[in-house]
Amino acid sequence: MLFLMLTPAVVYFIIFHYVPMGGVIVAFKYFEFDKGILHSPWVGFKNFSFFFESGQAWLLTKNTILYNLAFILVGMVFQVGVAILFSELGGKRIKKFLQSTMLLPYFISWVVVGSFVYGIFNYEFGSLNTLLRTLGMDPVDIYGNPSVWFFIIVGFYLWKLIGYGSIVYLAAIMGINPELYESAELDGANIFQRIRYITLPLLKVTIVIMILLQVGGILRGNLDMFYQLVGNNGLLFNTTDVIDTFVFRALYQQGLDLGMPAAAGLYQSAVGFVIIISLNYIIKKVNPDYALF
Amino acid sequence: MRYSRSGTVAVNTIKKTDKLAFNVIGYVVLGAISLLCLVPFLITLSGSVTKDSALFEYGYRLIPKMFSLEAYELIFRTPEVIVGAYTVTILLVVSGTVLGLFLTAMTAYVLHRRDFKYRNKFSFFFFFTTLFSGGLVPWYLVMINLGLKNSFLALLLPHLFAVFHIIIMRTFFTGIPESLGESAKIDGAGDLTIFVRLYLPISLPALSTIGLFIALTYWNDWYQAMLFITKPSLIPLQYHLYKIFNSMEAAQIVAQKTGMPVAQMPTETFKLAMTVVVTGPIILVYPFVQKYFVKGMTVGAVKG
Amino acid sequence: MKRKRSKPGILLFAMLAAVLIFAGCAKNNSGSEASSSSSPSPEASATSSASASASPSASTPSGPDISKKVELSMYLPSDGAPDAKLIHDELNKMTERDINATVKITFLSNDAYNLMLSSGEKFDLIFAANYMNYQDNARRGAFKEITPEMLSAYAPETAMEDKDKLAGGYVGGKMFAIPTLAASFNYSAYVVRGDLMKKYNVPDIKTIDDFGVYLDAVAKNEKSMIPYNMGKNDAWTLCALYFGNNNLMAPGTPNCTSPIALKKDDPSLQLVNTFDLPETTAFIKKMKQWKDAGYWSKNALSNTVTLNDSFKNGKNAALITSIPGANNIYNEVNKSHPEWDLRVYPAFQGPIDRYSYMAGGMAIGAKSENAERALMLLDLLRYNEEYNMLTQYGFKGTHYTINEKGDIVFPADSKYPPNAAGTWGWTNETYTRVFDGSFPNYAELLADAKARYEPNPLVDFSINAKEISEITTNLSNLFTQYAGPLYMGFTNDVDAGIQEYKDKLNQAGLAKYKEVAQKQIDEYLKSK
Repeated sequence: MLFLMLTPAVVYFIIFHYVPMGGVIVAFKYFEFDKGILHSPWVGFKNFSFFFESGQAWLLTKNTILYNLAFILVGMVFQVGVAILFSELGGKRIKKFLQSTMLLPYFISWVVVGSFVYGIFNYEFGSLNTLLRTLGMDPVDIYGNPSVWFFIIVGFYLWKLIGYGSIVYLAAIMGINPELYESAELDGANIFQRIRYITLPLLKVTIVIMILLQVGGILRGNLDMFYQLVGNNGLLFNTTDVIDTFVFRALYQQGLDLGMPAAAGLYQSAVGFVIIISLNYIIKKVNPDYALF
Repeated sequence: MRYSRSGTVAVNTIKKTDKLAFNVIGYVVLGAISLLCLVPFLITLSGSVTKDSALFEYGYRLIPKMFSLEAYELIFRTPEVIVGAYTVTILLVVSGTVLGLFLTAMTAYVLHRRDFKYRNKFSFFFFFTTLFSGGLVPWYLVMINLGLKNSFLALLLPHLFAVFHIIIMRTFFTGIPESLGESAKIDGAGDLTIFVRLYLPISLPALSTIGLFIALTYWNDWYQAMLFITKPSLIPLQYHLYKIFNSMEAAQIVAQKTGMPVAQMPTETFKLAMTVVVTGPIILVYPFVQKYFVKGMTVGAVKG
Repeated sequence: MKRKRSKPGILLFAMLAAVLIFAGCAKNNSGSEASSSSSPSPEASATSSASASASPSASTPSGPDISKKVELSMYLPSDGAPDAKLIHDELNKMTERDINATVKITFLSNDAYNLMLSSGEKFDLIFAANYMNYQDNARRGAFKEITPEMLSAYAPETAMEDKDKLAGGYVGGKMFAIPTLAASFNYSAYVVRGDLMKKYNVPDIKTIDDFGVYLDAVAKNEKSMIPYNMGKNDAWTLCALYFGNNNLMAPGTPNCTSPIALKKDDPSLQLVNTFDLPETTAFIKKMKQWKDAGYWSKNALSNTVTLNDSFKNGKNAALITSIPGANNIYNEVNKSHPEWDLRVYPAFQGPIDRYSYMAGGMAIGAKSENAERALMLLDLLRYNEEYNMLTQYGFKGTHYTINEKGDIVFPADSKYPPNAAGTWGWTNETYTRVFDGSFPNYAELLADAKARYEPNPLVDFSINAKEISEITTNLSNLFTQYAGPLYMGFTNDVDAGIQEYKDKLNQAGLAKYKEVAQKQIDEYLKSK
C-alpha cells in the first residue's frame, strides 16, 4: 500500500526530472541544432574552460558561497525569531495584520526593488543623501563602495523573504504540544525560558532540514536579485559577482550555446552534491532524525 | 480562537511581568519589521496611481504627486481578457493546490513512516533532482512530446510536486507520534485510510503552510505559459500582464529604432500597478489561511 | 526551489534590444520619402506586377508545382498585436489564392524562440537577425540552406536582388536567411535643448568639445539636472561617439564590446588593440574629466532610468542617438514641451557606415518540408505591395491612413501598431513610409548621411567563434567589468585602469582572438 501511495510521485519525478536529466551530457558537447543534444559532437571538457580559465572562478565560487551562507544563516535567525514572536504574542487582529504586511515584499518583483534601491542610494538625488544633506551631514557614495553591497544584498534578501520564510517555522511551532508549555508554566518557567527550553529544541528538526534543503544550492545564485540590484556595474563586481551573474553576462550576447551554461550548472551541482552528501552523512551519525535521507 | 491559549489563561496572572516585557519587545520588533515591509508596498501603491512622468520627475513617494489611473486603465483596457485570465489563474490555483497538496502530503506521509524500509532511498531519489537537472531544453522536449503544448496540464503539471514541499511536510509528520497510526492499524485501518482520516485532519497548520506555498507558486507563475501557451483562452493572469509589459517595452524599442511616434505608455507605473493587481487578491485570502495557524491544533490537541 | 530562469529572459531581451538599437538597425529611414505614389489598399486586387511574377498560379505549366495544399508554420519573436488575427486571416485568403497554402503565424517570446530552435522542432519560417545570433545559429545547423537553385526557382524576385542586399544572409559562403530590404546608416546625432543653448550662450555644436561646453553650462547652472544622465545600459553611446569620431570599426561584433578594431581608412584592414591606441587613452581621459565635472551621475552604472526617459522628464539635457531615435524623441517631446526648442546636430564627422541588411530577415527551419512554398511566400511578403503593406501596417483606413504629403499616419490607439507584430523580417524600404511629423533638419541629416556614406567591405562579416568560444566569452565579460566603466570615466587613474584592463585581456587570450579574427577577415575579403 505504501508503495502504491508513492507511485504518483515516483512516476512524476522519473518523467519530469530523471528523463530530462540525461541532458547534462550537453555540457561535454558542441551543441548543433540539427543534430540535437544526443548526436552533437563530443568536446570533452572544453565547455568548462571559459569558467575555469577566466581567472575569476575562485572569486566567484567564494562570493557565491559567502552570500548563500549569509542568506541561510541570517535568514534562519530572523525567520525563526519572527515566528516565535508571532506564536507567543497576544492580540489576534494586530498579529494577523502584521503577519500579512510581512508577506508583502514577497510580491514586489526584483525589478521594482532595483528601482527603489537606486532611488534610495544614488549619490545625487537619492533619499538617503537628501536626508543626510538636510541634516547637514556629508553625502555618502554607496555605489562607489563595493564592501557595503554585501550587507545591502543580504538585507534586501532578508526583507523580501522574512514573511514567507517564517511561515514554515510558525507552522512548526503550532505543531508543538501545548501541554509542554502548560507544565513548564506550572513549574514556574518564564516566557523566555519556555522559548529557550521548549520551542527552540523542538524547532531544531525543522531548522536543520531547512538548512539542508538550502545547502544543496550553495553554489547557485539568485540571478534575478543580483542582476536587478547590481546590474552590470563592473565597479562592484568584486563583492557582488556570483557564478550565475557571471555566466549570464558572459553568454547573453553569444549564440545559443547550451554547452557552456550546462557546464557551469554541472559545476554548481557537483559541488552542492558533495557538500550535501557529506553534511547529511555527519548529521545522520549524530541524529538520524535530522537527516534528509 | 477557542483552542488558542486555553491552558495558559489561568497562569497568566502569576507571570505577568515577563509576559509584559515580552509583549513590549515583541511588538516593537515586529512593528518595526512590518513597517519596513509595508512602506515599500505603500510606495508601490502610491506610485501605481501616479502619472508616469511625475514618477520620473519627483521620484517615489508615499503620497502620489499627480494622481492618475493610466496604468490601471492599460491593465483593464480589455476587461473580457482580464476576466478570462483571472478565470484561468483561479482554476489553476485551486486545482493545482488541492491536487498538489494531496499528492505532496501522501508522498511525505510514506516517507515519514519509520517502518517503510526504503524511506531514505526514496527521499534521496527525490532530493537528487534538486541538485542535478538536465536543463531547460530536454525538459521542454519531454513536455512537448507528451503533447502538452497549449493545454491546461502544461500549466498544472510543472508545479504539482516540489521536493522542498515534500520534505517540509515529511518533517511536520515526524512530529506526530507514531502511536497514533499504530493504534489505528490494530483496528484494521489501511495506510491510505490512516493518512486521510487521521493525519490530514490534525495537520492543518502544516497543510495550510504547504498549501499556501503551492498556491503562491501557481499564482506567480508566468513562465510555463510563456513557453507552452499561445491559445488566448488559456493565458493566466500573470502572463497576460507580462505580455502587456513586454509589448510596451517592445513598442519603446521600436520607437527608438524607427523614430515612429508611439502613444506614450506608462511603463514605470505599469510595473507598480502590476504588483498591486497581483498582490491584492493574495493579501485578501491570506487571513483565511492564518486561521489555521493556531497553537495546539495538531497532535497536542488530539492527544489532550 | 522555484524555477528562476524567468526574469533573465526579459533582461536578455532588453539587452539584445539595447544592442540592437546600438547597432542602429532602423528599418525605415532612408530613401522612402520619395515613394508618395498612390496608396494601395489591402482590398486592392493582387494584379500588381510584383504579385504577377512572384506568384505563379497553379495553371502556369512552367511554374513550381503547387497542386498540393500545404500549411506553413511561421514563428515571430513578438508579443503580437490585438488585431493580428484579422490580418493573418486576410493574409491566408491571399496565400490560398496565390500559392495554394495557408500560413499559421505564432508569436513567441525570446526564450521560447531559443527553445524552439534548440529543441529541434519542425517549422517552416522563422525570424532571424544578426543581433539574435543569426550567424552562430546558422553555423550550428538551425536553418536550412537556401541554394541559388531554390532561390531562382521559388523566390525569383529575391534571386534577382542586388547582391549587396543579400550578402548579410550568407554564412561561410552559404545562404541561410534572406535579409530585409531596409538598412540604416551608422549615424549618431546629438539631441540638445535650444532653450538651454540660448540661455547659456552656446551658439552651435559641431565637435565633441562644443558638446562638452554645452554639458558644462548645464552642469554649472541647472541644479536639478544631470547634463548627460546616463542609465546603466547607456555606456555604448560614448563608445559609439569615440568609434565614430575616430573612424574605427570592430568587424563582426557590436563595436563597443570588442577590444579590437580596425581603422576604416587603413587599406590593409589590420586589426589593432583598441586600448593600445593613444586616441583611446585621450578619449577616456576626457570622459573622466566629464564624469568628475558631474556630466553624469557618480552612480550612472547602476542608474535604472534611461537617458531617454530622463530627457523626456527634463532631468537630462542631451542625448546621443541615431536619426530615427532623434526623430522619435522629437515627436514625443515637441508636443508637450515646444519651449525646449529641441535641436539635432551630427555627432561625428568623416565617413559614415551602414549596418548590415541582416539586422532582420527570415530563415527556413532545418527540418522544414515546405521550403519551396515558404520561399514563395517570402517573395510575396517582400516584394508584393499588397502583402507587404497588409502585414506591415494592417488595413488601410482602420490601422493607418496616408496624408496629403504621402506620409503615413497612425491612430493613437491602433490595434495593429506598425512594427508590433513581428513583421520586421521582410521590411521593404520601397513600401516604407515616412511617419508624419519629424524634426526640422531631418531631411538634411539624412542627405548628409547619404553623402558621407562609404561602403564598408566588412559590413556583413561575422567571426566564427567555434574554436575560440571561451575566449570570446571572457572578452565580453571583461568588457562589462572594465571597458564599460572606463568609457564612462569611472577610474581613479586612467593609465593604470587601461593597463589593468589590458592585462586581463591578455590573460584571457586576446592575441589568439585577434589572430583568428584577422585570418577570417582576410579570407572573407579574398572570397568576396
